[in-house]
Amino acid sequence: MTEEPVPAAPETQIAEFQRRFQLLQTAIQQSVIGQEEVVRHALMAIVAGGHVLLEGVPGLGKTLLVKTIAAALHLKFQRVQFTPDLMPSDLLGTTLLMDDGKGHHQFRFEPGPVFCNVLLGDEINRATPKTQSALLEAMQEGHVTVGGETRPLAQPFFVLATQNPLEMEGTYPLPEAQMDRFFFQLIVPYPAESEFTRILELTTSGTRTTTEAVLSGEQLMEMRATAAALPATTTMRQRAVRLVMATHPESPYATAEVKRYVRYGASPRAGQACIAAAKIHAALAGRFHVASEDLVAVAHPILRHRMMLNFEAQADGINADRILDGVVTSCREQWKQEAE
Amino acid sequence: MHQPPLPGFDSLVKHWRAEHLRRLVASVMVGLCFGLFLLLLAVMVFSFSLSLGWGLAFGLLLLWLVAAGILLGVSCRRPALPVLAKRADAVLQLPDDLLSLLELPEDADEWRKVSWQKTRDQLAATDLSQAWPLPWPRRAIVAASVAGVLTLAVIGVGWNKLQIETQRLATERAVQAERLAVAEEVLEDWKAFAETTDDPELKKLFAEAGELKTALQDNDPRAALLEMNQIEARMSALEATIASESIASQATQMAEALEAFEGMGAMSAALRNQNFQAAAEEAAQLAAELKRDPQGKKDLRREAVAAEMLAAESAEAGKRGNSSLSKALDQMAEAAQSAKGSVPNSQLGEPTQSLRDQFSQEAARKNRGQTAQTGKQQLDALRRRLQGEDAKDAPIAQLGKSPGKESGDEAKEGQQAGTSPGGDPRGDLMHLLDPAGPESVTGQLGEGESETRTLSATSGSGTAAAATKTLAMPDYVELSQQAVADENLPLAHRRVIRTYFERIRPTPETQTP
Repeated sequence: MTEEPVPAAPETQIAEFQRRFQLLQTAIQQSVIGQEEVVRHALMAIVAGGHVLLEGVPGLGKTLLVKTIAAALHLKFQRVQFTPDLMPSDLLGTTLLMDDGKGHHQFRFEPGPVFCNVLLGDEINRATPKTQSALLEAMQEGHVTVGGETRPLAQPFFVLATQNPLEMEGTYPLPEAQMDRFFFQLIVPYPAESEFTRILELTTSGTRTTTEAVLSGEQLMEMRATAAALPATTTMRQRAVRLVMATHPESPYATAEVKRYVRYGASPRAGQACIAAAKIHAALAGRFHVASEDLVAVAHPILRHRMMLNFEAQADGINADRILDGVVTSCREQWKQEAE
Repeated sequence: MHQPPLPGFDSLVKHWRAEHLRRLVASVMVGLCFGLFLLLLAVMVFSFSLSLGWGLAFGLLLLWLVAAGILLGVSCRRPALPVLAKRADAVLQLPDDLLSLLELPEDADEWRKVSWQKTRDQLAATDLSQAWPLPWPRRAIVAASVAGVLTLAVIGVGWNKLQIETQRLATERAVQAERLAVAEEVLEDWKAFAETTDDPELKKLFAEAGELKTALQDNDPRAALLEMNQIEARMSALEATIASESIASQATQMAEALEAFEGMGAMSAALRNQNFQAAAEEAAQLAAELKRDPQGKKDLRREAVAAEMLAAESAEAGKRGNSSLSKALDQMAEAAQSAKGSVPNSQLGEPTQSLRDQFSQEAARKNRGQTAQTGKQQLDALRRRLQGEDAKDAPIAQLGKSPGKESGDEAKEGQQAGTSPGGDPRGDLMHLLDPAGPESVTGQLGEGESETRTLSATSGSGTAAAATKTLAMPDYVELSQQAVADENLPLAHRRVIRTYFERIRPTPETQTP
């Protein structure tokens, strides 16, 4: 497969961006039936260089999705099944004393599964907080420190983690610091009836579908650069800030639901993610700048895991998405009034 | 070529202005309705005159002009670019394209160019009249209709009330004109009097009434009443001066004293009647007679009594500051004291002339006082007329016209100052109304020939006094018998008179002290 150089003209860049994204999504959707929104958001996070936390009940294809993405990107893929006895060294790697057969011994670092491009952390909430925290440095800084030595990770590096919202027994909820490091939290829904039928057809017919790599890591990095170059005006940045601020109960922009049910709002990292994701959303929409609707489109996956709800919200059965619906509606109204 | 800040800028501005104007019409019309409603309430609650009617019309016009001015100003206002961009983005469903074009940073010039081109193409393909419809808001239509109705209501109610008020004012003006006519009548009377009179004080007093006329013509009742009070105060002051200078209080005593002189009976009678003009004329005639015959003599009865009474009146006149009268009476007292039954005409000429002057002055003074009093009555009547207390046809006294006067009876009618037929510098007979003045008493004292002789026990020696008393007694007895016989007196009174004279009859015991 020959790669064309990325043209400099913005419209060409955007067109190429859309083409590649579409190519990638199409390749993935050949193996993953339905879940277009999840696939799209997962790819957006990957293009932005962010990590994704997939949440869904067992059997919805979360692991399949991550495997397919890794295959489609022609990137090194590692899968780690998080269990309570999983140790940080099992994840990051360890230094071993090696005998070279000539009577000489030397320490050699044996890298863990984190040294890859796409890391699947399956059922990440089953590991202990100690092991979960081992991923913090890798996810944010792009390197790990083992035995006093810092070792860079390959680029691009993505963590695609899954967790089961139902089985709470023997699980360790992710700490807020780690949740904040996930670019998106995607809720994997139950497939529609037609999709379910198609899944059965594909998985029970004996035929095996394989996903070919359609994009290299370099091309992915070029897409990231294109999206990053997309301009966002001051007003859009202010609106992103207002969107994030609206999740804070003490903020003047907070809705009544936020004030009642939210304990802590989203961090500034959410604002950064908002602009980055909005740029990709704008590029996919064929725009040459970020618009308000881009911010709104990515608000839910960015903010839902960054808000900490209080006990009253849990007691009333209020989830983050419902609160975010109100926040987005309030912001839209405010922006609409500005246009009156 | 200058590039506009936004693609399709002029069209967008035009639409923004039109939309903004339509929205503002509603607000302005609501405000106008509020103002018109207040105006209507004011018109309905308060009464107003023609001048306020002009104010109402001006206010109505001003309200509409302000509303039109606001709308015109807004329609000419250039929108702020971000406002225009946001509104156009929202209406034309451009996802922040125009706003981003305004705000894209310098380093995003390539991206801005692409955005510009894309937005321009999109706007070119858009029919703005359909994509940005400009309907008139229903609120604006309703508000404008209500404003129109309120305007008509204000005009209608205002016109109606103006008609009513105009009629009322016309009626009031007619009433006021009637009142003013009375005032004009009085003022004309004063003016005519001021022009004809020679009395400087009266001339000044009534000439200053012009300010009252001005106040009345200005329809300023407060100023008119104030001016009337001032005029009345001046008249009262004049009356007080006249009262202090008057010799009327001495008239009776002087008359009694002057009766002793031959030929002064008529003058004395006039004095008793307080008719100083007649007294002055009599004095003038007497003075002329005395002048014609300086060698002659006038009989004098009761010299001592006359001299004493004249001296007393002279002193009284001196106390009052009237030195001229005091001197004249003093001269006559001296003449009486030195007389032996008669007084030479040469001694009486000068004091008689002086008395004539005094009587003339008193006559003029009396006329002035009556004029002032009549003026006060006129003022009082005018005040009551202006305040609507008197009927419009109630009579008002006039200067120089006394009610009840008889033509040809000059002795009883007043004298108009400055019109003396006899060449008197103080004026002619006045025609004054003086209902409160003293009534003249005629047919008693001073009428006809009478003679009085008074004996004083203190004058001369006791023997002489007794002798004089004895001589005079028969006259008294005769007079008393005649009086008792003539007059229709009750019997008890006759008895008292007889007893009185019997008791004062001189006896041998009383002839010696």
